[in-house]
Amino acid sequence: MIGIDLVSIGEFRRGLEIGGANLARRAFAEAAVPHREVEQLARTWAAKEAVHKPSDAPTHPLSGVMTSPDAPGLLLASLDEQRLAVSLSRTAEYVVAPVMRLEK
Amino acid sequence: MSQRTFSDYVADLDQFAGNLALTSRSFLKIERVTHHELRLRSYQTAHYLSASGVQRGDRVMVVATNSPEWVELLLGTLLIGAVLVPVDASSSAEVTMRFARETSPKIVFAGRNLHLDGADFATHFLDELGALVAGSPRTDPAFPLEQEWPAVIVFTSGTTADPKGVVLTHENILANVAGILARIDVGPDWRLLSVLPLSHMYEMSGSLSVLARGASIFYMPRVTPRAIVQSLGDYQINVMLAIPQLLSLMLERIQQTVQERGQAKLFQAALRIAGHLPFALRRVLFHSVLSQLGGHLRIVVTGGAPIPIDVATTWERMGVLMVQGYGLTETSPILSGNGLNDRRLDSAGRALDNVQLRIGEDGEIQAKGPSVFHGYWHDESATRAAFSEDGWFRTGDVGRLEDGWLFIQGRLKFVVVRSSGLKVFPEDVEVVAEKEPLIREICIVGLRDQKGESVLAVLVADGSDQVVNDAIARINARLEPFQHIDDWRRWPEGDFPRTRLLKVDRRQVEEWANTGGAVAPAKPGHFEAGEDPLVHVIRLSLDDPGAVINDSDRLADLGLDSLRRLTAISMLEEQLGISISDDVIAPETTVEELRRLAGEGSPAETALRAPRWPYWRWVRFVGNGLRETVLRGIVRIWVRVSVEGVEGLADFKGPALFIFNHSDDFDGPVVYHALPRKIRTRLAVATADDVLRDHKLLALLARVCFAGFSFARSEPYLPSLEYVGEMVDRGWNVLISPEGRLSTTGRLQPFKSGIGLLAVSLGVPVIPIKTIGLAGTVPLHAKWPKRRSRVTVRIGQPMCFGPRMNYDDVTEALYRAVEDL
Repeated sequence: MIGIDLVSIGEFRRGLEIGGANLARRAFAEAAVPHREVEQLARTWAAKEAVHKPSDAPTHPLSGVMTSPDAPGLLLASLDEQRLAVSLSRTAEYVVAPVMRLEK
Repeated sequence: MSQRTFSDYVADLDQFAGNLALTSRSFLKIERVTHHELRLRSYQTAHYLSASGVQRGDRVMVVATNSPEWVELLLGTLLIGAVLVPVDASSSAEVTMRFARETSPKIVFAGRNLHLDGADFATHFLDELGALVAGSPRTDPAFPLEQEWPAVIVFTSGTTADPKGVVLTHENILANVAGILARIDVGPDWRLLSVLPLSHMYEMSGSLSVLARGASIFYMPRVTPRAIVQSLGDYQINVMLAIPQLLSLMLERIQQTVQERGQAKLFQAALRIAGHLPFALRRVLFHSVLSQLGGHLRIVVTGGAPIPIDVATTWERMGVLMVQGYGLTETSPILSGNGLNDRRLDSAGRALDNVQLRIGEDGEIQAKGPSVFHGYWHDESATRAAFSEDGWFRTGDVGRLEDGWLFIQGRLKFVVVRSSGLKVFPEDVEVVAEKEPLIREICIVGLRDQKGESVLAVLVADGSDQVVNDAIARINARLEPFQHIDDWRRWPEGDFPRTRLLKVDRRQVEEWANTGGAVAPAKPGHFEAGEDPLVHVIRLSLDDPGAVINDSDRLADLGLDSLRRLTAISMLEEQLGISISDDVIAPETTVEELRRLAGEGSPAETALRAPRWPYWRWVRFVGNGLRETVLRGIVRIWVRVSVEGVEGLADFKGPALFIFNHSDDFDGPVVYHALPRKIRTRLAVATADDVLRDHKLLALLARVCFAGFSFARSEPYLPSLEYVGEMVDRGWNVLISPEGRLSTTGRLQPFKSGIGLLAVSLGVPVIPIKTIGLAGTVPLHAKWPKRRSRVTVRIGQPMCFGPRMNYDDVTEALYRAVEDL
């Protein structure tokens, strides 16, 4: 495991409410808010954060972290040349996202 | 009154059948609804609600931002005798549930952000209304309505007490619409920008009045100062319903810009001269200022609170007519108003033709007429207290009538009564105090003691206590002795608590002053003129309105984690139109550095600022001619093209998205010419923004011959996606490569998911195209063709996708479609 992130769904929802479409666009590349539930976006955010934190570029835009769904509860992620797997689990309030490197 | 119920109102929409009624931008798609279509959709909604078990008298709640669906739901609900309960979209789930418990709605239509846990009623997203009603008849439900039936229950904003449900009947609302139209001559050429929530009667009755005369209303996805200014131009808006706070804020922005350009003296001189000029010449004099507001704005109808006379005068001198009115939710809402040609800036106008006004005991304004409500929802004692013994509605406002003109002095409840019996109207003191520059906000309240009340000024002010004392002394010097401010206190936050229409919630301030009680948090999303916007957004991001923020603070130390940092810069972009790259903001960034970055930030680009000239008729005539002769000839010299699958486009009706594999820099022209003439005469090419920016001649060629437009290859993508939506809305086909970059290997690269988003959001067909044998003709960075090629262009079948499909899946499906050709 190379990184982990914990996201409060309530706090994330509030961020989306006041940050609006601009926040979604910055975080998710294509402003997907109208098409996705808040919980789903919070999961993706957690995955991106978990991938982004241990990277060498601390101020890399989060939209540079690409994610795609794999199995239920599992996201594949890529940042630059790295390929990573993020296991997602959640409680009523939090999403937790540990990330593992698949290959160099 | 010709319209007795909303059955008549909706039927009459067909008098203006072809006129545009409602326009909204929902993400990438622009939706336009004519008056005829609005009528039919209202009928569909009525049938749908009826089939869903909603019966006469049942409540239907809506908690969503303004949209065409909102209006359709309103009319559809009323057409079957049901009652709409509109709730402000920014209300919390807790408040919404409270209103729901009080009114027991059968169905709730909500926005996407609202989550009503444990609700025991059916809930739908309002933006899905179109899909829900799609199978319902488009015929008049012909439900026998009675004009005294309840139509809406609107909860008051609670400036004076807890919110009460105001029940308004069909007759109440339609009488007010008739009264408004008798006072203001609304024309079908009115283009109204909607900036206030439809859940407020001021916006609802205003909208219904405008639609009744065949005019148009435009909705924005998000109401911010930047969006308003942009929409005024984009939609050629000539009328706005606005609250004074918005007009003050806009005026302050104008004055700031004038100041920054060193034209303050010139501006003031022009204002003085304009006072002696007719309106048409004022607009010429202030052409440069008005053009920044789109150049079309002519009339602003203000309400919700009295407009400061200096603000109204400045707007009028710039050539914008200010029409002030007055009313309350209980009166549907307008009681009095100025006319377009008969107005006074210092007055709330004359009583509407079907309204009677009188001044009662204690100077209270009282009203009678068909637009006055009959009672509060399930609250008989409040209803009784709202009317005088002889049946006049007690507004709770103090005012005077002079030759029929109404002058508002303030809320009766907040008049400060001194021990001597002399009365001080807070608004009279505030108007004088607001002229002091260091006082950003002021709220005058009565401080109770055993003898009576004294005048307390609660302030949001800059400067030391001594400086404020001096300012208070200057204010008192301009007031009558009995009006003098006796004491002052600083409000502990950056702004006062406010109502939905941004009025200061005087009740909360008064409570705070008299009890020292806790302060309710300020409502997010707004900042007032004079407030430091950076500090404001940081406080909002922290969800801590009282946070102390210094320029030397590091963002991490303030508690701004990555989500909150991104929230803050997103808000700066939304509120100020300043784009700051998120990759330069780190936990170690200080507030001062962020302020500098905001100052350097480029104005956020918007799709609608793209040049329009490439689509002018004569430019297209010249461009099409050049392309079909000279350029087609050049293409044929280097490429021999055979086209397969073009017969699949025989019955094609645009607009559509045409997507192709990007294997060569020559593929755009090749694909363009492979398509039938009827398509390519209205085909715009999405061209990489860096190419258009860095190669001027190529850019000119692309724009003139291929109707090219700029498409971003990196963040931010949204303006480019919006522009594609704009082009499709204008009936253009769009040619786009979803790979984003030229493939150097010849293999198809993964598609950017924006293409899936476009396909799903726009709902237009996507035609996959593949070029084979072209790679290497004009390789990357080559200026001229390097070899001749035989190329096959394969055109696939149009693909359509439903609005609820996952756009990642759609992107994948389109990738496979191109690859499999």
